Amino acid sequence: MLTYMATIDTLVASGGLIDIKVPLERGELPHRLVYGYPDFRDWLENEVPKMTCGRLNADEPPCIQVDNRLHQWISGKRIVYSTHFKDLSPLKDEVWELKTADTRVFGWMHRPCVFIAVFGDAADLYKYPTRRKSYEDARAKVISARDRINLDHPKLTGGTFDDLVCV
Amino acid sequence: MISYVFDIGERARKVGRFLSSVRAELQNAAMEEKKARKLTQQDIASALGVHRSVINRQLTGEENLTLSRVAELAWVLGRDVHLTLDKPLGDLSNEYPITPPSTSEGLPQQPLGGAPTPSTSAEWSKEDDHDINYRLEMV
Repeated sequence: MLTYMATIDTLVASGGLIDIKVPLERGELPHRLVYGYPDFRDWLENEVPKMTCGRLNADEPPCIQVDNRLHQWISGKRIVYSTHFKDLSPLKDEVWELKTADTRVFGWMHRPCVFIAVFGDAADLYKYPTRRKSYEDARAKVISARDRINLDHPKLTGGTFDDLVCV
Repeated sequence: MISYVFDIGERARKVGRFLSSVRAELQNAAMEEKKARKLTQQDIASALGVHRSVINRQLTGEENLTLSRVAELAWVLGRDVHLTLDKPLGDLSNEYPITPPSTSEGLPQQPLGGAPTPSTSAEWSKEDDHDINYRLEMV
C-alpha cells in the first residue's frame, strides 16, 4: 500500500508546520530556516513575551534572547556549539536544542540549516535547583513528534554540528 | 504558506541585536587571541581583576556588559573599538521612530555640549533627528 507523505511545503500549506521568521535587517537574507510545530508558534506568541529572566539574571529578557537567537540562526550569523545549539545525548537520536540563557527550543534537523522546532520551554525547568522537567522527556517528546509527522523520508539529517549548521 | 513572524518591536529588537553584535565581536576577538597566543578567559579575568565566571557571563549575555567593560576587554584583547552611528539608507519618511519631544517635557534649554536646542517641538524637525543604526567594530 502506498502512503502519501508530505513535503515541508505541503505541511506548511496545511498548517502542520509553520514557517518561523524574524524581521531581518537591511541587506540580510535568510541562510538558515526554522519551521515550528503549532505548539512552538503558540509558545513564541503567548509565552515568550510574558517570560521573565531566570536565575541566571541575564542581561536581556527572554523575548530579546529568543529574537537574537532566531535572528542569528536565520540570518546565517555564527552559531556557537553548546552555548547556542547543542545535540542531546544519546547523539544517535539526533535531537537538538536551540538555547538562550533562559530558554530552550527542542527539535531536530530536517536538512542542513533547516531546524524543525517542536516545542520551547524555560531553561530553569531543566536545571537544578529549579528542575521540574528532564532532558530525557524532552528528547522523547521530540522523537514522538518526529515519528508522528507525515513528512517525506528521510525526515531528519544526521551529522556533526559543522555539517548541519555552518552556512 | 503559513508563516509566523516573531516580532518584539523595533526598539527592543534594536537594543537586543546591538548588544548581541557587541558580544559576538568580543567572542570572536577572544577566540582569535586564544588561537594566536593561547589567551584564556582566566587570563582575561586576571588582567581585569575579576573572577573568570564574570567574564564568561558577560561574553555569553548572562551578565550586564558596560561600555567600560567593553573597552577593558578590547584592551586585554589588543583591539581598538570604533562605534559609529549610521543613518540607514533609503526614505525615512514612514519610519520615524519617536515623537519629537516638547520643551514642557523637560528638554534642556542648554545642553552640555553647547549645541543649539530647539525651543519648541515644531522646531524639532525630522532633519534634526533620525533613525540610528549602530555598528561596533573591533580592529
